[in-house]
Amino acid sequence: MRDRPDEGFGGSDSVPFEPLGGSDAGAISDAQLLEHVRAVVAPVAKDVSAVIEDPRALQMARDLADVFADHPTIAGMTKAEALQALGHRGPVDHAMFESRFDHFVRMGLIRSYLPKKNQKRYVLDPAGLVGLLVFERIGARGGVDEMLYLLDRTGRIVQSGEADRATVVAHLRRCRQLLSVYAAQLARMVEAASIRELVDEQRHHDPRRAEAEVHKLNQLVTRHYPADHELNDLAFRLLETELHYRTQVLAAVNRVLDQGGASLDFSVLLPEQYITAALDATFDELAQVGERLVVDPPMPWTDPGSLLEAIDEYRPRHRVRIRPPAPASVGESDPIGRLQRRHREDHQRRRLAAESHLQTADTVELTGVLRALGWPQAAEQLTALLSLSADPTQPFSVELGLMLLVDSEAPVTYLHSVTLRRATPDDDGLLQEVVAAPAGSGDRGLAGDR
Amino acid sequence: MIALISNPAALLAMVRACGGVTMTKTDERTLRLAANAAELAGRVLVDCTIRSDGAPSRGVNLGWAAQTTPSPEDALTYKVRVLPPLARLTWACCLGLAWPDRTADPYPGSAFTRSSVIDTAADLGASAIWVKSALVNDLRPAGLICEARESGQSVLRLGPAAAAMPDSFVQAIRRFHERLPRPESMEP
Repeated sequence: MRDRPDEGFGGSDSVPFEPLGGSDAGAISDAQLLEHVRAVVAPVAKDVSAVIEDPRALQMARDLADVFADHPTIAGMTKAEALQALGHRGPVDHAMFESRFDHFVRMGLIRSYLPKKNQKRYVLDPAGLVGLLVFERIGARGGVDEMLYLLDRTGRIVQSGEADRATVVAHLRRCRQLLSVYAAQLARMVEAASIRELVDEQRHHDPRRAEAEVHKLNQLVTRHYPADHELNDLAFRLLETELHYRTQVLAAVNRVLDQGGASLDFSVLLPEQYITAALDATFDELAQVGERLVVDPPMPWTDPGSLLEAIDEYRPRHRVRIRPPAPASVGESDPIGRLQRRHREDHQRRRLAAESHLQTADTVELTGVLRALGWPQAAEQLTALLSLSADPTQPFSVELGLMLLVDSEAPVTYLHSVTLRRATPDDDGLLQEVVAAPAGSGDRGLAGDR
Repeated sequence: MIALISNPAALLAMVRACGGVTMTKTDERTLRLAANAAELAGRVLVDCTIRSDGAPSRGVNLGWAAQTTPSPEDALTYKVRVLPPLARLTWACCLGLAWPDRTADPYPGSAFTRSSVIDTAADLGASAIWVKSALVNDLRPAGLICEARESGQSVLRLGPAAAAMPDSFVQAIRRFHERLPRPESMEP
């Protein structure tokens, strides 16, 4: 298997640079990154607590830098605007924001827009943003990029002749020291580190690129300083150190392949490397991978707890149906019965009203009473009396006089005389009207005309 | 003639891959070596009945030793495949039907019919079509149940995976044995 072609570094003029967050290849957690950064800042740290330990603080720095960098205006942002912009990106820990914002202002990562007192607008210091990027890169790749960059830069200053001899000596020594330190670290990890740590570490290294850079630098020194034995000696010792470094990188790779391959640990290689192998490797090479593999189907884990959950989830069905409770006072339960009840109540009310008019008498003159009721109560009362009179089961009859009584000023302008009579049942059980002369009038009774 | 498996590692690999291997595929010596190797890894080889094409034969499956049974459901250190709820209910019905006596061992248990599983699950509100699907697509491929032919009838029995059920699981299920779904006629 081989790495993807685009995993190598660019040309000698380009500086390898990881974007924020890094790529998946060799990605490490923020806690690991902070551990690397702790070693990086150790030369200038005041005490052991110089670097924060909470990865959330690092994420807050990243988010704040993004917010300030993405802000379209050049006048900066207020603290509230920064908080609001952070809120658009996701949930914000307000206590963390307050503490880190004030800390960044004190440290100069975030500066006041104008150097005045009580300035409320802030801008991001470019050096702080670059520092964040550097920490991301060094933290993620362990500084290997810087070593390659130094080799490349040393070669360029030798080639251009822009630096004096002392600078070239210093650069050559620094290159050798870096290679030597990395070789020692790899040797230590090959001996003592876990396979996972070794896998992560060896991914950062590119021995082919280091070899090419060192050989190119050696040729340049030989060509530009043919008579300077000290420089040639330094360049040669650099070659020796690079050889030692390359040996340790290969030892790390061998241990990873031996141990990882023997344990069939598929996480030794990156998913992209498997894809590359699937696309580019031959059938025989791919067959070798599966030669010693046993694939078994993932058997379900039937623990008693999950079994009990399933039993609890399904309850026995209710075989006896229970009528749901009737809704409270919604709609009419028996509209016909209600109409009949209202009809009976109306009838009872009319009968009682007639009895009230008659009192104990058999006949009563109601013309004056109706007139006094006014309109429309007089019409309603007369209708009720006529309805009662029309009912053969009721012992009442109403007589209307022929004479029309007209009074344009009264509430009831037109009215016939009205007489209510009580009827008594005959021998056949039929009601017989009580015939009596209308009180105080010569009007003819209407008995028999109903 | 099919060659016997004489490599203990290959035998263990086959047991894992197939969910149980009949004794006819290996010899006693290889089986003993495989059992020793499994024991070193915290596993045990358990006896079970393998039914290929309905014909029963003695076989072995890989189970967990009592002291090394993992509990990923509690530790959550790695993900395990868990059956969907209805398949778990169907498995509970199968256990309830095959294991009427709590004092006995669940395996090999009694034979039961597919219709009895469907009826028992239906009483709990489970759809018949989903129960059938769980039997065919979940429980049988997992080796929890297998089909057998007894007295000319097609019946179901607990499979090799049930034989490999850890002892701690059996003890735990015994504690709620009366809650395993089963018809009223089988209620203890």
